[in-house]
Amino acid sequence: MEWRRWIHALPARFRTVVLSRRVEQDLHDELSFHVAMQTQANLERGMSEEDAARHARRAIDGVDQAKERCRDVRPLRWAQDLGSDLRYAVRSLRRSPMFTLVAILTLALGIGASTALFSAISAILLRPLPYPNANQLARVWSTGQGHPRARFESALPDYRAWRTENHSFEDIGAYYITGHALTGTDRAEGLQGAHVTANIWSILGAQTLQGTMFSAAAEAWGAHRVVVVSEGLWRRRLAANPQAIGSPIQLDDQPYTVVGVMPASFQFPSAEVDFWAPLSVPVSSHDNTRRTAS
Amino acid sequence: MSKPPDLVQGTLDLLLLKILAVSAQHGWSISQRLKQVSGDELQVSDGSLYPALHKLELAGWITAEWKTSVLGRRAKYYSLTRAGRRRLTQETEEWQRLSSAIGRVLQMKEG
Repeated sequence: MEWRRWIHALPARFRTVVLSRRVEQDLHDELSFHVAMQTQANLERGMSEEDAARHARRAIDGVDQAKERCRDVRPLRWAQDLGSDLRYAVRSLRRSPMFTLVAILTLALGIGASTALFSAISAILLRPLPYPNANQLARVWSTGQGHPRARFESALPDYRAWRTENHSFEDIGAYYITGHALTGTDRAEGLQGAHVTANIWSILGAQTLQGTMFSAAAEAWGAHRVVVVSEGLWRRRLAANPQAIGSPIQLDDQPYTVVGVMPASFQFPSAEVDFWAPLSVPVSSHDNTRRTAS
Repeated sequence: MSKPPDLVQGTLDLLLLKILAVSAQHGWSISQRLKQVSGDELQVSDGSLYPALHKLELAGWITAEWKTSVLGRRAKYYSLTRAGRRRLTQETEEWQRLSSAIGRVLQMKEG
């Protein structure tokens, strides 16, 4: 449109927003003037004083209604309504503090419970596993006869058979968790160790923080006394020293060599694990026959 | 009291602009003028008058000024702005085109 009408339009709009009290007073005066003039005209037409005023008010559909319709054409009407609604809400809440308290507590509990539940669901169900190609990872359990829904740990011979006969997965790794004591220092400490097959590293796409991971050769009994420690253990007991790589530590009084450190983000199979050692068994207990039916 | 039929959308604006083009005046006298000139044929309720005036004012077609009326009371006098005058010309042409078009249709011979 043309710019010149904004010379008049902008100040008029500005007034309704900024000088709202003045504008309200003007509105009141304008409509009162109208009613007074109409009343006067009605009187001159011979109406009674009461009728004259009543007819005048009715002709503008009621003073308050007319005011409301005039307010409706103002810009930012919604913002002014929002403001007065909020002020009204605060006043009402202040007038009944018990109700307010109960309402706030109800909301707090409701929101708190929902948030807690969602956090749990997010952690357990929604968050993807923190490994590359997480959608290709699967966890395998054994079941028992008569217990189709039970999840049992699998026997080592079963694992070996699955791995050689597997056509569905790129690779299958195995692990178990057991407690160990860190000894040979002035302060022994109970540790959680995960005994893993060496292919776990490549399956999970793991990267060390320091040093290296062990290879499949370390699964041979006798070559198995190597450990990869967690960043937590490395900082806590090995002074975060890069020189700790290649140095010995004692687990259950047996000497092991530290070959690597995993970053704190690597938490397999849980955040409580302090170190990873090869999954290795003495030759005498090797038994390649499958012990459980699958 | 039966409600008068609603004016065609936007027609009230045109009538108000025209009335103010004749002379600047306050709301009540605008309403009187409307009734007088249209011979009570166009019944604009006084309740619709003020929102319409305020809308025209906010649009910049008309402007308002508080002055003392003949009776010694403060009254809000509306007058046409230059933009409003141009708007009136446009709207009038528009209206005449529309009504003559409708007129031509209604003058068709039947049968």
